[in-house]
Amino acid sequence: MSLLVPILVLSGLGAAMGVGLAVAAKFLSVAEDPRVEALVDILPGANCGACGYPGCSGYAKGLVAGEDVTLCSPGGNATVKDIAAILGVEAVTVVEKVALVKCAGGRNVAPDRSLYVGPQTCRAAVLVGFGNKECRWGCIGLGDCAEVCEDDAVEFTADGLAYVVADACIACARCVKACPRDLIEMVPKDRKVHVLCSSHDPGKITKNVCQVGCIACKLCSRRDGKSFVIEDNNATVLYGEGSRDVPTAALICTPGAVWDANMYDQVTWLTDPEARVHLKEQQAEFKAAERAERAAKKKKAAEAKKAKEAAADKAEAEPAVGKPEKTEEAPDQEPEKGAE
Amino acid sequence: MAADEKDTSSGADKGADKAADKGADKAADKSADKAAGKAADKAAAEPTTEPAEAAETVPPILTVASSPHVRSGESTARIMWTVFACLLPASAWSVYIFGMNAAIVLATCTGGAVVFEALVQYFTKDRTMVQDGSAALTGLLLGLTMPPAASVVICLIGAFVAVVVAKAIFGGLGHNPFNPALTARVFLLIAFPGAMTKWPVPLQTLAEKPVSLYGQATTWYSSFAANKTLEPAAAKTGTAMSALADKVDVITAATPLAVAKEHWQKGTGEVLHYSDYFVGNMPGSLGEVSVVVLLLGAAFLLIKGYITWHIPVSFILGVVVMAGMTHLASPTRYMDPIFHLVTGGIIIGAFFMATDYVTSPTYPLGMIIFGLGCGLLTMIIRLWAGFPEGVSFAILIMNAVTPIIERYTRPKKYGLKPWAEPEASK
Amino acid sequence: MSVSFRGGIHPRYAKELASDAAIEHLPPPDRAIVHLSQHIGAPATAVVKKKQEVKKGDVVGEAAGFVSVPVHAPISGKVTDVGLYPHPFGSMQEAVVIESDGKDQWTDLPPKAQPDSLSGEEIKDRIRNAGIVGLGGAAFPTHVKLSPPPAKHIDTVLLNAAECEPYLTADDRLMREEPRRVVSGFQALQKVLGAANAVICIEENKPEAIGAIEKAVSKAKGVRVATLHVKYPQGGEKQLIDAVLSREVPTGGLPMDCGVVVQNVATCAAVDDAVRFGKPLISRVTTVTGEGVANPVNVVGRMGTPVQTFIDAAGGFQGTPGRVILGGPMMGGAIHKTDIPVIKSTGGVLVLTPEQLPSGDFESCIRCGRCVRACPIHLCPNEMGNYAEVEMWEELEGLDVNDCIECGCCAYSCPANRPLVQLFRYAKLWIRQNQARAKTAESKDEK
Repeated sequence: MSLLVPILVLSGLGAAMGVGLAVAAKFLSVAEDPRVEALVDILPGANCGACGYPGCSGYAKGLVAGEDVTLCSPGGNATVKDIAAILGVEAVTVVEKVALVKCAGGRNVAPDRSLYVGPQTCRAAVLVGFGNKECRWGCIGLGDCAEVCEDDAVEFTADGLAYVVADACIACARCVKACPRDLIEMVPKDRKVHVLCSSHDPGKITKNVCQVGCIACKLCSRRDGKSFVIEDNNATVLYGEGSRDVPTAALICTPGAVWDANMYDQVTWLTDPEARVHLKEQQAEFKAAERAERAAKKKKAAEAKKAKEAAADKAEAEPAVGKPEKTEEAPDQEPEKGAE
Repeated sequence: MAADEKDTSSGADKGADKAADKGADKAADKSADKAAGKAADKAAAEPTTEPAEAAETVPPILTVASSPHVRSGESTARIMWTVFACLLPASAWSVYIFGMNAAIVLATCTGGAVVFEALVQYFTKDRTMVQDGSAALTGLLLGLTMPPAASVVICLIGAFVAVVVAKAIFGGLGHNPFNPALTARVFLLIAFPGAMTKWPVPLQTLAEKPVSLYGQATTWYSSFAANKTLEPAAAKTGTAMSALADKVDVITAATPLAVAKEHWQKGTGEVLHYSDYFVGNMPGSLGEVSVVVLLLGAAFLLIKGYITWHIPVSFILGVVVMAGMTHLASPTRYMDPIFHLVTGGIIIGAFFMATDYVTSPTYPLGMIIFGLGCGLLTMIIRLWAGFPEGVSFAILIMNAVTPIIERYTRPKKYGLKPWAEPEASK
Repeated sequence: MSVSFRGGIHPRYAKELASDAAIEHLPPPDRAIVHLSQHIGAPATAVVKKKQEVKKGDVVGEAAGFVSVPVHAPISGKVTDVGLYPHPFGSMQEAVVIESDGKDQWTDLPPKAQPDSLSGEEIKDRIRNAGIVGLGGAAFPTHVKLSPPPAKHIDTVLLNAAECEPYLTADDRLMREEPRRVVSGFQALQKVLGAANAVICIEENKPEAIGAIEKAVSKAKGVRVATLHVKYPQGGEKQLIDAVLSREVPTGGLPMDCGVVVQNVATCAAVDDAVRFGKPLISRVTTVTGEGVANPVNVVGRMGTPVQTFIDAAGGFQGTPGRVILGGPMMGGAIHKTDIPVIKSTGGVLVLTPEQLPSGDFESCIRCGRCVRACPIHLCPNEMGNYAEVEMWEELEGLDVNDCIECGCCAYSCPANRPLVQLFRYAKLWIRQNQARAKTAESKDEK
């Protein structure tokens, strides 16, 4: 009996509060566009902030207010389509990107000039004497980028060089902001040829501080000025309209600053000295082949000219006699592609 | 570089093949060779090892760091262990006063704290190191706030609360808002009120002549060896009290403060002599009883700059002012300031507890406000609240307002002094 | 009766390592790499070309604007290159490289003159043409310091002879050996500024220098000597002005905002050379000291000489060197390698052994307050350090991190070994960047 009253009281209280909540939910609720919930469902949920909004729900609210539908980098084209479907707008194709560390200067090729003591973060290390690497532009390797990456997409070579594993990268661009030397760039996922150097020192200084740094010799930009441009002593790959993966770029870059992912995968390129040796061989062969081709062309042109002159002379002197034309043709040489 | 000078930008626009054909073949060859020549020599030569002047002696690798490149030599560990060492005389004295029980309490609290901190370090893989001495110090301080008869279990629970609940879960050393030893002490007081208010009479009171530590120890050990039980290490004399001591576990009495509270509440009660209080011959917790020895340790800390005068002086000032005013108002009801200073935990509180770096303000004005607050609150609790002793609660309350005090007592920076050009020099 | 300021620390001074070494002159180097950026302000612009012959004292770089000074050839010879070379601060900067011809010939210098016969403007011109900058470490162009706006009336000029950094003894030796040169230069500065008062401020730990200077000023009118309590950073100009004149340099301001100009001992000696003999600044006294060199010395070396030459002059490394610092241990900068050339502000080369160096590990702040007591600007390094660690820039601005003089007292005192100065430098950088970004955003909005 003495138990009944408390039970009734508590149950009554609970019921009253439940009714109160229901009433509040109905009359005090904030009207929200139903599309917001739908959008939150189809957005990746990484809450990375690449779109510039606080989290995916923030972007969803922005979208119903008219924001650009292409801002979600982790979602890519699939998400753009879904967003467009919900909002009833046209789906635009976006270029899907990944982060790329534009430096190949681990300690083995870009040595340290001293030993840094202090907080082990890149942003602290660059404050002391412009960093303890000989190259003042290169990767310090203390991991500020890895610290902010929530998808474990940043790895390090044994020589302290950071690199982004493209498959794991969701393109949130946090690492881009974290690098104190601005080494990380968002590049189109389908592009395979990149220049892994961010040094703006003149070539004669770069070659003393890094074995694989860009010396701005312009061989690449001369090959294809729409795909490479030299800016302030540094070759930059252009990824926009009219640019392409130049197949011979890695073969003509003497220091080996150009990485062609069709020739070598990322880890091999950054860590295996054999890859560099192999590249040198390929480059030598390619150069020899190009030289031979040019020589042959020259010879052909000279002969054609000679023949033309001879024919002209002949036309003046004796129209009857004809000289056999030399038709030496240089063997067709294609630049050899290295092992994939 | 020769390549730079031969800028065939017009060729570049028309594509790679055309550029090669257009007569730039020579230039391309030459520049490629030149680029190859210089760079390749350096670059291709040693793909894995470092380039540079390896022919001559390799210069030493220097370290670089931000200035300053020297340090005072002070370290957290040194500070903690120094304060710990300054408390050892007081601990030894309390063992002399209360016997082996006191030693067990102190050892259990200190050891327990160290063990719990080691466990925290192990499980969290934290930078916190047991070696930095802060756990040992917390444990010893806790032990000094315990009554001598506290059981081992209670001591261990206290050590756990101090190290894990009051410190580790906030983030370890430097992050706790409340004094860990006092938090644990207050927790125990509320959780085990009976055990925490059982105050054994000092051994010296029981015996006719002073009992030596050695005498105590041998008596205790021999009784243990004979009976395999722990018996009080009371000296055998002819007084009634000591005769009683042989038959019971422990003889307790009210602390002077409790007596004083009763005294002013009812106008009755006895008090012991001041000299006894000063020397420590009174019931109380371990750290309360040895003003002289505590002051010796505190003096060392003050001289060496480990603590500053601000908190202890203002704490005592707060107590003296409050006690003085009330005593003047009603001398028979309220005890005088000296009584309040030598009984209870004010000395250990003012010099060792309130001065805890982490939980007290860092700016001079803030420290003074903190100390005054502690002193006043201690007296308010002692005189008009339910507990006879107020130091622990007062310090904990002031710990809570330390962040606010810090915010409003920042030092005035250099550069705000107004400058008016002297008329004469114009 | 010595004066002081509130705060500061008492480090181990170790001045006895070099304080008894009389100044020696290093032979001119075979090759001098003369940087065009040796001062605060715009770097000088090169006016020589490769293969050009130069004589000692020729201008190789012209001042670029008002807040800039010329740079001169420290040796006679041929210019072999003008290009990027490693700078002591760690970057690459434009420099003129001169190979010695072994003759060490002076170029034609301006005529000798007595300071009394020159006007203030003429003295200032000589100072500017000689390329003189503050040799206490900051390398601020002296002629700019001597040109306060007319509204700022200078009533006192202070000679900063505190030399409060541990280990360094260059100023001390200069005062002991050439006190009249120092005092004469100081008086020339007083004349330029028209200051009524001139005070030479020396720390108590240099009794011989105090004696020598007092003797030298006994005949000079209007110059007095003030002794300073031995404390670091007593030689910081803000602390100096506070101690000697009880004035405070207003926040964000300069000493001229409270009627004072402060100059260093070596600067005054260089001024004397420029005024009397028209000699440009091509060398200065440098202390090479520390437990990491075999035999600490005080030497006069030419600008552009490699640091290694200085170390060799001190008997070379003693054991394995840990760190080489240009300047003192509290505010000096560690260099990566010793093949870099010295510049005008290099007053000390300090080599510390690996055992002496602090570790890079640090703990949480334990709120002990030692840094607060040590800070000579009375800031809150404890709170600022904690905010900087979590990159809360607005709070840091509110705590006046921009007032920090980076003296190092806080980090020196910290029992948790927190890298406070490094954190504050980082904070200041970020706050500046944020301000610049906000400004460009604002101007974009306005457009």
